[in-house]
Order: sequence, then C-alpha cells, then structure tokens
Amino acid sequence: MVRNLGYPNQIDTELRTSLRAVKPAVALLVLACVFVAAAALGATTGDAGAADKRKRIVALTPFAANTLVNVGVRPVAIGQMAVGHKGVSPRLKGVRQLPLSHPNGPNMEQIAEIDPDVVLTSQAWRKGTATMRDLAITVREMDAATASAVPSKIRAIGRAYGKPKQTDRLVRKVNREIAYAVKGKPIRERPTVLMVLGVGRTPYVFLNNSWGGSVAKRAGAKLLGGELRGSGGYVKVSDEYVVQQDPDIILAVPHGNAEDLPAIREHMLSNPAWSTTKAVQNGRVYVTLDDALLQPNIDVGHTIKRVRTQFLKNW
Amino acid sequence: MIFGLSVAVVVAAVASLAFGAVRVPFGDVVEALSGGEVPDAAWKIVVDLRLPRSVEAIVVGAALGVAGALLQGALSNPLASPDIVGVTGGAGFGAVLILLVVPSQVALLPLGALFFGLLAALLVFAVAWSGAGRGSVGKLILAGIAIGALFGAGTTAILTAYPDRVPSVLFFIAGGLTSDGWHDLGAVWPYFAAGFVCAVCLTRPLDRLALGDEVAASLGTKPRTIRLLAGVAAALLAAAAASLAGLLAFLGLIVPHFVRMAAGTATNTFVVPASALAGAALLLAGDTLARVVAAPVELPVGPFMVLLGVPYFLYLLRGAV
Repeated sequence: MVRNLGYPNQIDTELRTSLRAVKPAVALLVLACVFVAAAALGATTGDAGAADKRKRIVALTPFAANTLVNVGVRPVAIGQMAVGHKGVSPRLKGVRQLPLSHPNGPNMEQIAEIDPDVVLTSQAWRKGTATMRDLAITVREMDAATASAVPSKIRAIGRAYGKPKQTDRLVRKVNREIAYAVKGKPIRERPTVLMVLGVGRTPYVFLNNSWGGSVAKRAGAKLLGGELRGSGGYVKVSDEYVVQQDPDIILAVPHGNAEDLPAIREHMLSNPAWSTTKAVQNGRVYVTLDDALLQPNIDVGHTIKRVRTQFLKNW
Repeated sequence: MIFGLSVAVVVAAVASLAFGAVRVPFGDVVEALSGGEVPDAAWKIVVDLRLPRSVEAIVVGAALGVAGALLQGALSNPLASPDIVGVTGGAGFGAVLILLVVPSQVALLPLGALFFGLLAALLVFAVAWSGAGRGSVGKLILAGIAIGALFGAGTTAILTAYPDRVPSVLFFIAGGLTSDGWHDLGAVWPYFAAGFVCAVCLTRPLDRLALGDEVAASLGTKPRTIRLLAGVAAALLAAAAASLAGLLAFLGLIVPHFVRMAAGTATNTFVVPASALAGAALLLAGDTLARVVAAPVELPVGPFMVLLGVPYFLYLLRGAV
C-alpha cells in the first residue's frame, strides 16, 4: 500500500518534471500559432514582407531570374533570351520561357495565362508595363543598368522576395568577385577604348552609363566618348572625333554568329576613318560576341575579369 | 536662279569642308586640300573624311533632286517621288537584310541596297507595263504602292525577327551620310553616271510630254517610252543614293517643287538641273548641321533638311497658285 500510495506520488513528481520540460515547447507552439494567425491576417490585409515570398513571380531579365534563384525563389516563368539558356542559371532549367519582342516584352496573353503576382522587368520592355498593370499585376523595373548598380539591385530583389541571409551571401559573393576581377597591378594610365555597338560604318559607342561601358570602365578602360549623353547608353559619334581621340583599343560588340567574327573584324579594320588610330596600327582591334557586355547579369565580376584579361590585357 | 543655286552649292561645300566635329583652322583646311604641309590628324580629317563625304552629299543630293523632278515630270503627279517606283522600300529591305540577317557581309551594304532598290523598281515597271492599260500613270503609281508595301512588310518582318540587332539599322533608316572615304562612292558611281546622262537626255522629251500625251505623240515623242526611261533613270539615281545615304526620299519629293515655285517655271530643261543643284546644296547644309550641332555626336541628316527646307517651302506654298 505504501508502495501503492507512494507510486502516485512518484508519478506526480515525474508528471510535474515532465510538465516543466514541456512548458517551453507548449509556449513555442502557442507562439507559432499566433505568428501563423498574424501572417494569415497580414496576407489578407495586403501586408508586404513575408507574404511577398510566396508570390508568383515572372522574371523577364537574366539578372532578375538569376538573382531570384540565388536567393531561394524559383520564378514561375522567365524571359526567353536571344542567346538561349546562356547566361541563365542551370537551376532555372525547366522554368517556362516567355519569348520577348520589342517594345512590349512578353506576349500579354501568355502573361495573363500565367497570372503572376509580380513581373520583374527592365526599361527595355516598358511599353508593356501599362498593359500588365491593367491585368492587376505588380510590375517592377529591377534590372541593373550599370555594373555598380548590381549589389543594390540584388539587395532590392532579395529583400522583397527572397531570404535575407541568402541575399546578403549573394551580395558578398558578387562584391568579392568584382574585387578579385580588378585585383592586380594598379592601372597607372587607363587605355582609351572605342567600344562600338553593332555593325556598319556608323560607330555607335558605348557610354559610361551603359551596361557594357560600365563594365569596361570598371575593368580599367577610359571609354572614348563615354562621358557623352545619349538615351539608351549608346550614341553615334563622328569619325573625326575618333581620329582626334586616337583610341588605344577598339572593342566592337557586333551582332551575328561566331563564324562571322573574322569578316566583321576585317570590315572594321578596313574603315578608312580608323586606319591611322593607334588601335589599328598596333593590331588592338577586338571583336566579341560576348552577350555579357550587352546584358546585365549577376556574374559581373567574371565579365570584368574577361574584359581586363582578353581585351585590356592588364594594360 | 541657276547661278544663285550654284553659289549656294559652293558655299555649302566650303562650310562642309570647314566645319565638323573637330575644329580644324580654315588655313589648315585650305593647305590640306591644296597638298600643303599640315598636321597628320588635320590632313586625315579634311582629305580622308570631309572631302569624300562632301562629294557624296553633292552627288546624293543632286541624284535625289533629279529623281524627283524626272518622276514628277513624267507622271504629271506632284506627289511623285522615288517612293512611287518602289526604290525606297526595296533599298530599305536590302539594307536591313544585310545588316541584320548576314552582318558578316556588311561590306556589301551599298550594293545590297542598290540591288533591292532596282529590283523593286523592276517589279513595279514589269507590273505597270503588262496587261491592259500598260504604261498608264495610275497603274504605275498603284504598282509602286503595292510593291513598296511588299518590301516594307519584309523589312518589318526582319526587324521583328532580330530585335536585338535593330540599332545597327537605325541610322540607315533615318538617313545620313557616313565618313567612309571613297570606297562606297567608287562602287556605285556608274549608276549615278547612267542616271544623270539619262536625265539630261530626257529633259526636252519631258517638256513635250507636259503638253499632253496626244500633243507629245504628234511631236514625235512616245509618251510611254519616255515615262519608262524616266522611271528607270529615277530608279537608278534613287537606288544609288539610298545605297550611300539611307532613306532620304523626302528630298526627291520636295526639292523639285521648291525649285518650280521659287523660279515660277515648270520647264524640265530648267527644273531638272536646278533640282540637282538645290538638292546638293540642301543635303550639304543639312549634313554639316547634323555633324556640328551636337558634336562629336552625329545626328541623322533627315530632320535637318526638313528644318532647312520646309519653312521656305511652306512660305512659297502659301503664295503658290
């Protein structure tokens, strides 16, 4: 009996001990319930923040698509790049691709079919923005216009739709890659670079505020005409100005296929206006089809490194 | 008036040689042109860049002026211009095809524009000179509109297919000269020469045609043959001009009217050479402005020609009967 009387006491003691141990877990459970209820309430009242991370997002640019996938968000669709999957993370394989056309961007019927909450777009597709907004879609221009804007734009996308830790990690990685790309012998005298867009005799030059121009500048180039003003980051300059400025390097970014490069280079070299420039005299005329000089992306450090080693040759 | 226009061409040519993106002292310009000793850069700019460009402006401006005068005279239609024989649409298609689809062949741009400009004109003439009512003005104009639309659709289709390559073609479509040395002019000068020779030979027959087909025929002129020859000459001139300076058809439309209204006469023996001089002066002046207004940025020449020509044209139009 004593044993029997004593047994409940033992149980009582064990129960009290167990309850003391369970208390924090119960408290946590209650807190979690309150948090979930608050989150659900927040979602119904249109609160931003945590709810944004569950939105259906379409990323029209490789920059936005790669940023999203690197901060832990998989977009429901991405813009179809002219260069196929090049420049887009392999982790986006299988994500629906939307063909883009100037100046509207995606086909609006396809967008309506996907019914996204958010479309991350760029200035290039601005004409389609109004139509998408009419479809009750939030449209945000989230493309990095220049190399220096990459970290801040990653932060903007990551904080709105991704995870803070992954965002910070990605920003640190990008900054590290840029720092590594420009590491080495300090540039004492920057080479003057005539950076030309497209083909033809008409030299449309990259300005400092263009993506490619900002990349080359970060790599150590002094862009010929870079300080001029022009919409879209490119402007046609006079050949007289090219002769006067006498560039050290001519870097052409035409369009075409890889097999076209020799013919395009030959055409550039035959330009009588450029024949007396240091670039032509010293054989420093380069033609590249590198899409990374035209299309903003998060691997900007690698692009800077490539420009520095292939074209500026650590000047 | 011919003397006045000749003076205008000379003044515009001097300005074209003296002014540009880079300031070259006028003395150096004269020295360079006369073979004297000048700094290398100045010599390069004046002799290799400005001189060929000025000559191109004279030839292209004259060609477009003459093409417009021939077509307006032959078709007795004040709205006739190189567009009407399909040349502009064809040349634009040829340029877009080469620049966007086969950019490796960019050196063939002038010849491509010339080829498709002439091909379009050939199709227009083939349609207009076949079937019932062959060679009639109405049929030629309608054929020109249809063929022009066909090539225009082709151009749009290519632009849509290669949106990332469009910047390369903008300057051609907007119209403008390039500092390209003598190379391109050297390739297409025979077409200019043939067109100008034809034009000189056609001035008197066109004057007879202006009296009406029946009167012209009674004077020994074959109206349909003259129209065909005038169309061919205009096509040669306009296609060659488009191959060098892009799409500047406006010049061909407005210059002959400008000349007729300013001089008060519509005889082709006057209008054709006067249009050549006026076209050359206008394009020279427009190109100089396009080069210096926002230097070193180069602007398309089309808007400057409009700016220079249209106010005076409207002034003349106001007083015209």
